[in-house]
Amino acid sequence: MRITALEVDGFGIWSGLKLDALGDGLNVFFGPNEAGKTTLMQFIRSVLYGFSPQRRRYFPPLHGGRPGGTLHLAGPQGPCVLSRHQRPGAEPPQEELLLLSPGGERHAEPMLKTILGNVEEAVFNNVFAVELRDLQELATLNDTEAAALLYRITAGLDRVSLVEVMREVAASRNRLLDRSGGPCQVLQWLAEREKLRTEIRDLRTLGHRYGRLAAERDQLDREVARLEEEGRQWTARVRSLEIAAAVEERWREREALDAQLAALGPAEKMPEGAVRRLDALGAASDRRRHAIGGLRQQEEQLRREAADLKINPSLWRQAPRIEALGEQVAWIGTLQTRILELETETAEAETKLAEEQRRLGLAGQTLPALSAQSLAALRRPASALRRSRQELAEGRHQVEDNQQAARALEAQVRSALDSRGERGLNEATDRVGGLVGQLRRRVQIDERIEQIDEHLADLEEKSQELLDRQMMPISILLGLGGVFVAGAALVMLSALGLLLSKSLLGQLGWPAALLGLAATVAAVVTKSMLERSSARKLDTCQRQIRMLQLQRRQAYEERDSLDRQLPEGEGPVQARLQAAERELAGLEELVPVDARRQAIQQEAEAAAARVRQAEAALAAASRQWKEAIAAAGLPQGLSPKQVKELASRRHEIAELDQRAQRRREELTQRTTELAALTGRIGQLVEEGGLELQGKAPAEQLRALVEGLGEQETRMTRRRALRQQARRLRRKRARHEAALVRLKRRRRLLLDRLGVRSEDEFRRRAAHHAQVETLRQRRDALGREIDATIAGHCPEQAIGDLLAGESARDLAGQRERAGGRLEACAAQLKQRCERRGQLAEQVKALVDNRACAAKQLELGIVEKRLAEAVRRWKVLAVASEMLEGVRKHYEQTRQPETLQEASRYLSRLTQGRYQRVWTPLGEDILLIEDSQQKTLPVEVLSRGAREQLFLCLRLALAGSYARRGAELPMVLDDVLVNFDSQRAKAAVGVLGDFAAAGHQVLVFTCHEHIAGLFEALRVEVHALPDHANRPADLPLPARSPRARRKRKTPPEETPREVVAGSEPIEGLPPWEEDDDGEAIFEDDEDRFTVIEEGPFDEAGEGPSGGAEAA
Amino acid sequence: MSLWPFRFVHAADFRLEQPPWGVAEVPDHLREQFLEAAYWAAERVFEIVLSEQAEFLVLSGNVLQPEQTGPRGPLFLSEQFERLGERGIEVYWAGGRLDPPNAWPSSVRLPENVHVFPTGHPQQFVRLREGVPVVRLIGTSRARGLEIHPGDFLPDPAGLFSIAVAHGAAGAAALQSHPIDYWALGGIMSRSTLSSTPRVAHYPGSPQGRRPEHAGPHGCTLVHVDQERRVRMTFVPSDLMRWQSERIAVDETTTRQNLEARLNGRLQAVREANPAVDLLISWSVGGGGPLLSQLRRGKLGQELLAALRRDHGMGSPAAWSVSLAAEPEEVLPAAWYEQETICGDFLRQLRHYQAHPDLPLPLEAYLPEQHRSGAVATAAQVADPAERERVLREAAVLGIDLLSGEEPRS
Repeated sequence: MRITALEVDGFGIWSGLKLDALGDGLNVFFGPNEAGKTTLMQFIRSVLYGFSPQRRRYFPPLHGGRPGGTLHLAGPQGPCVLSRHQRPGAEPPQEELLLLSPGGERHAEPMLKTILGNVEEAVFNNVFAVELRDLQELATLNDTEAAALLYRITAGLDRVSLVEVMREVAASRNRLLDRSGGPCQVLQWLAEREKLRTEIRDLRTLGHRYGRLAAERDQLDREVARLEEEGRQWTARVRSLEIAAAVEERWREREALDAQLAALGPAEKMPEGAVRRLDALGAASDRRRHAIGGLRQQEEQLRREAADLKINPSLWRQAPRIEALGEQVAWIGTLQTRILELETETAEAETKLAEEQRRLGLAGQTLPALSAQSLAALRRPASALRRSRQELAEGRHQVEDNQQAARALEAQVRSALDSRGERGLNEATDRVGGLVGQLRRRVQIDERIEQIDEHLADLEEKSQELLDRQMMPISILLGLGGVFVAGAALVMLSALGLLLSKSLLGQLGWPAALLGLAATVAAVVTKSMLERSSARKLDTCQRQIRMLQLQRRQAYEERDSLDRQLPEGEGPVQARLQAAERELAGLEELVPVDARRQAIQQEAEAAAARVRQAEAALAAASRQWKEAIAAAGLPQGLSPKQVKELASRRHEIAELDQRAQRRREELTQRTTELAALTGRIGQLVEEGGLELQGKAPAEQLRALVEGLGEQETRMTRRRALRQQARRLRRKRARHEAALVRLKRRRRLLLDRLGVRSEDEFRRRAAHHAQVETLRQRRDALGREIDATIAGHCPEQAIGDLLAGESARDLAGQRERAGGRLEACAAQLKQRCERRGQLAEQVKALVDNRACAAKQLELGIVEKRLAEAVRRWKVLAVASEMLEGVRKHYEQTRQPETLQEASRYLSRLTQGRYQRVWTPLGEDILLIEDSQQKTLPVEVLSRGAREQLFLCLRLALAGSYARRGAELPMVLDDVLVNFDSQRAKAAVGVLGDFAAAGHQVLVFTCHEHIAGLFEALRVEVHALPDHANRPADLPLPARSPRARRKRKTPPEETPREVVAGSEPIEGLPPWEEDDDGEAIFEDDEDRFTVIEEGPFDEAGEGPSGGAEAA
Repeated sequence: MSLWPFRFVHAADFRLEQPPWGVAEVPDHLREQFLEAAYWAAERVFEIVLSEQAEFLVLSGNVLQPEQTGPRGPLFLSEQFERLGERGIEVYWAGGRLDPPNAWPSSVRLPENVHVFPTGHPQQFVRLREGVPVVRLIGTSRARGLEIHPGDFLPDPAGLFSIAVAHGAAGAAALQSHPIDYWALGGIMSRSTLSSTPRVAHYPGSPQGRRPEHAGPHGCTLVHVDQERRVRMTFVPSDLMRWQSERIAVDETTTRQNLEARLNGRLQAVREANPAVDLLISWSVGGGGPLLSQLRRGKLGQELLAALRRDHGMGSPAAWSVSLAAEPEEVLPAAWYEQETICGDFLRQLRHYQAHPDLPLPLEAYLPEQHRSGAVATAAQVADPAERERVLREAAVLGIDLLSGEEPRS
């Protein structure tokens, strides 16, 4: 694509500007500063690529006109007209683009891209537009940066520099993961991750530590419980001793009473009021006997009177009785039946009573008397006996359980040890722990040896360097030597001056001599110090080497020693260490089990001790029980249960006994009555003189009745007597029956007390009263003692303390028990303190969140690491792709670009530099001079660099053109820093470039540059005075001076140039002056060499344009 | 067969030893929450068991790794178990990969209401109510390297409702075909139900999400079984820190102010939807337009993230924005590949690798010499096709950004 004409409707300072007939080759525009060159360049870019925000600063046009303009283009697709204007009043600003064919046909916008060869504005700026600013930037770079910039142009440059992007990507990538192994984020986070993992592994031992602490804490709990129990026992012991001391006097008195009671023997049963009742029974019996005696006398008298009547008196006397008996026939049968019933009931009651007595342990004994007091006295020994038995049973059960548990745990530990081939847990733990320690030490020694080796290598290298430095560098030696010689010379001259006192030296005199002397001495001292310093450093370094060698030898010896101690042939040390640590961890897990076994064993022993104590307590309780039942008057051998049953059933048994007794009494009575009837019948028969033996009483009675009937008549007289006698007899019989009853009651009273006689009864009553008095006193003492003890301990315990020899030293015992109590408390305090410490440690372990915190940090590091690795992959892939692109450029584009640039450079430097090239695989540019000597770009002067820059850009544009992207090359005062010869050569090169088919638009504000182009017969367009130039005027001609100096008319400007390094036809031959600079022989006033340095930037670039606008 | 209704809580994967991770930084004011999140969530599960008056608790493995929690983990669990034991609530625990039965430390006593299934072979427990069997639990702790074999869990011959407790992976079809009423499974951090009818196979997930990928609420499952053996599962959240993933789409017209407003609006909506928990939000911005390029290359992303954190992340509960990332474009314009520019060459190179998935990415050459084998080399490999595609896409976007010649704007 070429620009054939342009029309500026309004853009910055330009309005209505038309440039027609632009050539296909070189087009030069001349104008002074602020003439609008840059504005014109920006106009071309704006029409081609749009009004960017920066370029909108040229709106509105300074001198009016429609904002925008038109370019006439010619390209492979044919000519076309491209117009771009800003739509007036649109906000935000809008553009109107119009692409028309010569026939007025409108093309679509994509057509413009095709016309522009798909070259974007950035590429256009970087390749086809070369501005003074680019050269200024090149000038501000140092040698290395400038060389890099020039290389980047060759290695690919469109929107951006390929090399620059690759470096940016590589830098980002290396920051994450440095290819050369230097410090980088990934390695840093890897190290941090490894460190955190190690710390987390170390923190895993917290569990084992907690296990050990918990086992120790449990052990301490058991010991504290034991000591607390001991403390309680000793406290109770002390209290018991104090109580014993307090009750000793009453205790002794009670013992005396017990002795008296024992001497008196057990008190027999004596119901209350028994003596009074016995006395009353005796008086009543006496009264009955006296009445019976009187009645018998009256009856005898009546019998004698009846006998005097002389009629079968015997029979007659019995007449009422016979009649009465005659009416008793049915009663006799009833009595006989009742007697049989009573005999049966009596036998049953006696059998039941005997059975109850046998069950209560009272076989053959009378039912003992049990009062509420005696039962209360028995209750405490019975409870003690029951508790002792219960404690003994529980203790035995606990002993059995503990022994079983201990055996099970021991079997568990033994099994684990046997599986490891170990005998004891402690020995195994010590052995494996020692082995772990040795292996860890072994690993540490290896690491130490490695560190020593590294350090040694560093020191040896340093030592070698120091050894090399023993020879002082020539520069320093020369410097010091110079100072020394200067000083010595000054001294000598001063000495000479002193001799010639009028000379200048003589006037300086002693100060100069002293200065010289000081310089000499300083040189000598400095040299000596430097040598000594180097020697000292070398000595220090070698001493460190020897020390490290010694340490390494010691480490080897220690390692060999450890190897001899360690078992052989078990694999790498790390593996052995891990195996040993695992084995140690396994053994440490057994420690709590073994501790538990020991604790249970101790508990079993303690329980066995408690069993023994319980057995002793049971024996004491049994003894106390026996004494109590003896004191209560109960038979020996009775158990508390039997006593309890006896107490609950005694009323029932007594009632059974009484009922049996009543049946016996009634039987006796009925038998007596029957016997009395039978006897009376027999007596009547006998007394009646009848022979009726062998007959039943009923038959005898009937015979009597019949005999009485026969004598009835004879007995009428004697009837009254008989009736009177009968009344007397009945009365006497009543008295006799009452007397019998009284006797029976007396007998019953005596029988109940188990005495045979009344005297014995009286003696027993007296004994009972005495015993009762003593017992009441004893009970009162017992209550006082109980009140003093107040339930603190069993009374027997106090009795034990007050018995025997120990009773004499109660105070001493109290003191000793107090001492034991204090010792126990001290031990308890110590254990509690230790337990508190353990609790603190356990709490610290439980509250320890270090592992979680490390996990959290590890998560953060891993996330960062993952992100870094992920980003690194993207960057590495991008690097790989960019590398591929670069290789493509190096293989396809860079060689031809460099080849073309070499031609331009050789031409531009008049053969001084022949070739530009780059070594394979290296990111540098090299220059080959005419002597085939290769030089780096860094050695080129600023001007030469700019020339190389221009060559490379031309070659790059040529490369794009060969690929179909052919656009006008726009150069803005790029020759300003060239000297005259090279500027002239550059003009020739541009001519060659244009002659090769590239359109070139050159803008310059320097007349001599314009003159060079004019010398090349290139028409130079002088930009008009935009302030005074009327619209639609053609471009003004070059200034008269320029026209005057131009040797050939513009219309004769040759369009064709010779390719390559052929001299341009029509140009005068090159000549060189003495300094090697090219001169133009026919234009003497241009023999000015352009000085490198600051130059006028006014009007350059967007800011300059804006300023101009 | 009709039975008594009952309900229980199914939970798993407490992972007490593992605080949340997957973030590149943890702010100081959320550090305590990060450290305690696992314990707080687990404690809330036990609270749920008590408040819902569940009959028992089923734990399906990976509750804790005692080696890494130290004594704190077992003591914490023991205390919580005892709380349940005081209310007569039993615990049935099948160990997972991290918590086999023998991992429990001997120094900490496991309460009697905890029943741990043995490793290797299933064991069953039958729960009684008033002397009548109600439900049968059969389970096993996970053996190393073994998967769940449904055939090992024998059904109840009397037709009692059966719950199988196990940890690990299993196929839904295999579980469905085996006559177990409820498969109480563990081993997946996010809640998942393999099958729901007629037989249920369910993973309750962890009570607390651990990393950004675990977005959404986490908790345990309250299971109701009615008289007709119908199972109804209710999710009960227990997490105190909740991960959220939010995506904002932008286009050519989106400005920074638009994006800020949309971010704030979305965050307010998320806050209102999750009112009582600390939120950890990962933002991704997708779509197209110049704003996306600025987010990728410039400081815009950092500034937006800082503003979100400042405005919403410091309160209590906090809504902390973990990250804000621009998504790479899924498809690049075809014209970019046809450019006669370095960028075009670059994209064509990438397209070649994308078109030939078997072509290895030679990244080893960019590794340091001493790290061309080992952990770094392994991490630097791009073996997964999805990862390869993602890396190539991101590399393309990076290349476009770098080779476009445009400077990033803040």
